[in-house]
Amino acid sequence: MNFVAPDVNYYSMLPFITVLLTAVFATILPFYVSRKAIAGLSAVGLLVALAASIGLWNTNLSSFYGAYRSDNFALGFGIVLIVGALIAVISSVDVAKRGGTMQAEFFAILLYAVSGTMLLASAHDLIVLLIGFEVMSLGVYVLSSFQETAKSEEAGMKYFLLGGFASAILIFGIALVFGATGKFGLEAINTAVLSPEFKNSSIAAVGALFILIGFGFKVAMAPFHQWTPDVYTGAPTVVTQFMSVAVKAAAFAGFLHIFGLALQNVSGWQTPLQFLIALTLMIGNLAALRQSNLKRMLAYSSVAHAGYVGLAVLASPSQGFSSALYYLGIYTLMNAGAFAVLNVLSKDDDGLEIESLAGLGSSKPLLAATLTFFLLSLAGIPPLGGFIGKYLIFSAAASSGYYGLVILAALTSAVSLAYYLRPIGLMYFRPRVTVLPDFSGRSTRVLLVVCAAGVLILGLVPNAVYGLLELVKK
Amino acid sequence: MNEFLHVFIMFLVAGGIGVLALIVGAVLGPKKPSRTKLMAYESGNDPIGSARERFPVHFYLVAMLFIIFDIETAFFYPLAVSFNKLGTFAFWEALAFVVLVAVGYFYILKKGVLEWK
Amino acid sequence: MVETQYYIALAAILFSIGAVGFLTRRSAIQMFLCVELMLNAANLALVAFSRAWGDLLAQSAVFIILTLAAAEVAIGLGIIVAIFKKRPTTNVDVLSSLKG
Repeated sequence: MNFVAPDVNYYSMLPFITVLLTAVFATILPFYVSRKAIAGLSAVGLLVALAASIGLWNTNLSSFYGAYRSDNFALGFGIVLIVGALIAVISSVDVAKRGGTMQAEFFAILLYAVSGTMLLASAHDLIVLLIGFEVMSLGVYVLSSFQETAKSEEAGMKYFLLGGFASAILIFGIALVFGATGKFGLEAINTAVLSPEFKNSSIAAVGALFILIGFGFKVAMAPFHQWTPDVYTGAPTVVTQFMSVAVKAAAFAGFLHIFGLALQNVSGWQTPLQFLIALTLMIGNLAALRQSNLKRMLAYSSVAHAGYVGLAVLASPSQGFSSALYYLGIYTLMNAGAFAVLNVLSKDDDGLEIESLAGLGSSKPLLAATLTFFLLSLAGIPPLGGFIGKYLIFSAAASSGYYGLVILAALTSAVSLAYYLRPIGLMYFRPRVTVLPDFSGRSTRVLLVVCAAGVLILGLVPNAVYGLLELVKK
Repeated sequence: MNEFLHVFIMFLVAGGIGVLALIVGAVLGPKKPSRTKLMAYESGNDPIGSARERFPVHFYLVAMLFIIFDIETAFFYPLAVSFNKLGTFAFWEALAFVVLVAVGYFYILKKGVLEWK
Repeated sequence: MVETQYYIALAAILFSIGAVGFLTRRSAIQMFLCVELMLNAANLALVAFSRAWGDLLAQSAVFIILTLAAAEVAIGLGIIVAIFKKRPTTNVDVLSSLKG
């Protein structure tokens, strides 16, 4: 038997390899250079990966016989993930300012997690996808227990135990799907399902349900969301920022890929997913209403947003993929921006009482203005990006016939106005009661303005960017 | 829906066995605790001190590192068996793998995890 | 030759024992062991399916999953040790400072 060297195209993996190499250097170098230099190195590595992703746009390279693909879907998600990680790296500078500890390993583990998320977004094979999923998860478990406070350790423990449970369910689901089809490649699975001699549809359906549970956990869909508020509150704010945007975006990339490319012709998961989405929309938005802590409120709001993006998984891949990517890109800017404001305003990682925001509009106009931007966009007020994102996803789901869910999503979105507008009202129409610290450095202030501008531009001229994403369609 | 049924029944039975094992153990198991029975089992010797004595954390660290490097070795067995057929490509790939593992090794070495104090 | 469905039934039983154990146990270590049991149930299913399809790919997948499990053990034990160094038991119910 002759050995045939596998099909490896290093160019197609350029962004991924860049991030991985940066992570390796960030592992070794802290013994020799300062923590600040590592932060700089991480930022440079991420920027190079960003440039590489943009350079590869439209080239459609693939590697490992199509198991790893740098198509526009993967590159678009890669750009979103890198931006999310960059925002976390910049925000981490402020943590040192307020006297918090941020060990040098933070950057290495963050970058390893980012490499996992990128692998997850590019994978067209269940095993490659699983490796990306686990590298991402393992990195984030460590990050969320990173500070030696009781809360942070508790968050890490909860996340790890429940996350391990969910991964085990996902892996069993993958085993069942392989058992039903005999294939790991996403397109090959679909071909096997469609072939006339396919007779294991029940095994495939059970496997799909298991995979649904695994991903439902990772993107925080009710009723698998219980860890979310605790972990998001307990983890260091910068880590929560990263988790709420990059991990969610990457998990959705895998979610969309599996259910859009491999299992769309398997029956039995669509109805449960509709229930999950309906439950997520209601629980996320209603629970966020009664939170008094801003960090916890944002945690529940991120559960609710998982419900909106979940609609894109139900929609047909041709519309669902691009609308989910557009939404998650905007979501990364607005949610990471809101967490960045929260990070510079709080003296530790316990978050901030919403009441204490009163009067911020006059005392810290820039922070108040950008936070207002992000919250309005999260609420989906036109002309900000959040509105366009929601509109695209709702119309994608509606054109696939899920009118009931779209109406529910619109109604709960209206409910969400209550908790998004309350901090804004407090900031501008109430006198100041507590004096909040302000740890924002110049880089963070620039970052906030850039994020706010991005949210506005993506909302005002959606066609400029969404036109590019049309190419994402399969 | 009919074809789903037997799979679900299989999972019900499987889950039932799991629950049943726990219940039967709790209900039927004779519970006549005596001092000797509750004593920690130490191969026939009388236990000395508390069984909850704490190991130095160091012990866990080394155990964890063992697990990692142990598994990494497992990848080399298939490589060793088919190395002659795989040629230079596999050599360079394996080298890349070893370098990545070595980075981890370098890290723990620098952190002083392997020094017994 | 033993039929594939018996292996799958065994895998399903192992998986269910792990899942039920995870949900009923309260010690972090035991919960973690249950997760490992579930992972190995998946491995068993993969190996059985691999033989049924005559495809060795799934067996190499088992290799990868074993590695993932080892990495999970290392990280999990790290977190468990870090947390319970400061607390008297490994019972997860003591971890209740985050609520709401």
